[in-house]
Amino acid sequence: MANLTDRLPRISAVQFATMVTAGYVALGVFYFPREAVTAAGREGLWCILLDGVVSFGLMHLMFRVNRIVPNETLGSFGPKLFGKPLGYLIAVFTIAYHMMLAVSAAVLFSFVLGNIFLPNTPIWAIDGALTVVSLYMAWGGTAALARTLEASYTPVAFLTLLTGFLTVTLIRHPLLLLPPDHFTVLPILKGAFREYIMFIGFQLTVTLYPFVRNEQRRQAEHYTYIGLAVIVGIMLICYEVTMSTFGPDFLPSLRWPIVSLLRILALKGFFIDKFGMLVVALWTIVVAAFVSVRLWGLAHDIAAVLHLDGTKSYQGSLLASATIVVTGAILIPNAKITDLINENYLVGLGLGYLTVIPFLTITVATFRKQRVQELRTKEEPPG
Amino acid sequence: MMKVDVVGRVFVALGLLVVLTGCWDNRPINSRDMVLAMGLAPDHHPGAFSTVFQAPTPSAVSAGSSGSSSGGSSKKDTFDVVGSGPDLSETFNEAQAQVSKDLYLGQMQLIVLSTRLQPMYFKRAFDGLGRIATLAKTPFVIASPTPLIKLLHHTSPQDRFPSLYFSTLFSCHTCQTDAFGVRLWQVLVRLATPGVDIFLPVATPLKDGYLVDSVALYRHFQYVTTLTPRQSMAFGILDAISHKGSIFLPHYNASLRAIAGSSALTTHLRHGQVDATFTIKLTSTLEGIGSVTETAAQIAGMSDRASATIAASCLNLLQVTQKDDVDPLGVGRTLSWQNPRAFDHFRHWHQEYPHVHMRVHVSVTINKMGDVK
Repeated sequence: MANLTDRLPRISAVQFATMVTAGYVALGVFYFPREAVTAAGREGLWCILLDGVVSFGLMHLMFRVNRIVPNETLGSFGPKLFGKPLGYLIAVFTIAYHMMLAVSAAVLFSFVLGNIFLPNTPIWAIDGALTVVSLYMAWGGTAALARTLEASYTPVAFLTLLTGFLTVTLIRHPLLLLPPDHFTVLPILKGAFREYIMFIGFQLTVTLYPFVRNEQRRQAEHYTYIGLAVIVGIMLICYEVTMSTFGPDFLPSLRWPIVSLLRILALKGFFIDKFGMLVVALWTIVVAAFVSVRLWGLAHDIAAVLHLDGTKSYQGSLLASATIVVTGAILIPNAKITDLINENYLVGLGLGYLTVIPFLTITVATFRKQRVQELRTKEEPPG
Repeated sequence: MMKVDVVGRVFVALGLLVVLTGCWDNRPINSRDMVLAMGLAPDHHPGAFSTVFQAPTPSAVSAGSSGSSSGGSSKKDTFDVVGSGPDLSETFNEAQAQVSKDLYLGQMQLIVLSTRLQPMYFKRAFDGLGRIATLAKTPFVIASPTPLIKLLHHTSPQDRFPSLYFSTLFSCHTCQTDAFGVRLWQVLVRLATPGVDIFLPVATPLKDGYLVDSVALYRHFQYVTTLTPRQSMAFGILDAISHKGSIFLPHYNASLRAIAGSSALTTHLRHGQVDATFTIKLTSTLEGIGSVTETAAQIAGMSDRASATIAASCLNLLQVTQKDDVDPLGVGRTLSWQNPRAFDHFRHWHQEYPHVHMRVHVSVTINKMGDVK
């Protein structure tokens, strides 16, 4: 029997948390906190908190799903647990959804860069370059991608947090820092739903979990929770600063509020005057990280569905996925269409996935304990 | 095989280096006319307004980059192109047709608004400015009753370009009596927010520079009035942007300077009547007192007298704004944030604003008294 720890390229708990955290935020950060404020006004603060609480709950459920068959991805054990039709349907949906997320994030950031820095560059060129960077990051496999993200994503996230503190100097209306004293349920729920685009993407755990070293899996879950808490904390700071700078009436008219906030941030005396612009440019790493983990997830999910194995098939799937991402992005003509796709499809489908999959898997696993036991003890082929 | 892989990676890295640095968009600075200041004024053609685009001349740019000064030179440092049309893009196109280089708005530092500009064109121009993606919405906006060409052609020995003069002035809060500087994004925020009107600093050319000691008030896009310097100082105190205000107290033959502090506005709705209270806490420096040695009683008396005088001038200013039906201090805005349901009752805030019951509480503390006892 092969040594269990040798079967897959293994990553540490911190690397797992970094990859999962890199797998969300990047898409929603550009709209943040517009959707919450548009729907709920100053009560948008409660939307962010509600989203954070819901994410903790859903993440907990996802980890319970991961623990059912911890050595296999959902795409791999799904057909064996649910039966082939439903199992493959879930796997295909997962692939299609990851693809849509990757297309949306790549093209959205391309629009941001094209608007601000590169007005004469075609969007497909920016999108192509971004996707190639993401492809390159994912090319070396799980451990290489995890190390790359540790070295790049984490410093940029830290720099963003630091910048969040600097933007405090922009606050014009401290009154707006106070939480609103009223609570209207429907607008808050509506705002929370729309703003949930920020947290869409941590379903990556269904593919990534088996790659964590066995003895570090619980620790990996804890670190991911900490990552989520940090993200919620950063979002609350950003919400407060953006709200008390722009106010609840101007904020909904901004296409990318946080980008607008960073663009007006200047550090007098620092050798880079427009410091916020530097941070926006460095977000390329955050978006490339988001797309690269999506491509990584796509390659593994495609391999599970098509029963492919080996490095060549992984890289082939990566290449095919990256090509689809670039092609899909070319079909999106402007930032408004990206907004519509995100609002009308990605949030609903993502929340649906994050809710339905855990309940379905946990319920089926409860009734098919024998099958689950077989899957858990089944020897995994060396990877 | 290994060699092919390495070569492939090197080519990908080189390709990305070219693309990611934005070389596609690379345009040398000398192939652009960097617009530093823009002026918006009425036009003699009906249905149009004029836009003045001011950019530095190539010689001024090269002199600036080499660190030399053109002081004493007869050469002009800037040139202007004027376009007219019904909206910003039309005026821009007409101006672009008059120059050989790319007229670039991304580095703009100053927008000058004629006080005579019609509200419709003010709105159109600012709608256009709000959508220029390369512009970071950080240029300062000023108003001027002077013809814009005259103002923009005016030079100061302190700075070579008007745009540089004003961006230096407004970027430094303590360089001004009152920090009247308003950036484009702040104007856009005020225009989008109900219950508050915009104010802009007014610049007038002087022999050796510009005079900026008053503010122009607008009702939405409509210019209403320009406050006197005294009223503007009261405005600065009410808006907590005063840094070097001063007041003479004849009774003590003394003056207080460096008046600065905080101002908190609270609003209440009582029986359908809006009450607005400004609570202002100021510090100041004692200067020019007639007696050789000041007493504690004198200082307390001066504080009280100064507080009463400033409160009266602030209240007077608020009444002026109520008479003119402009709310530059955002009483309605504060009401909408503190009591949104009450604010929603007022269909037109401008009809309600003149009836707001205003209160001003001022407390002046003399915390610096100089070296002479």
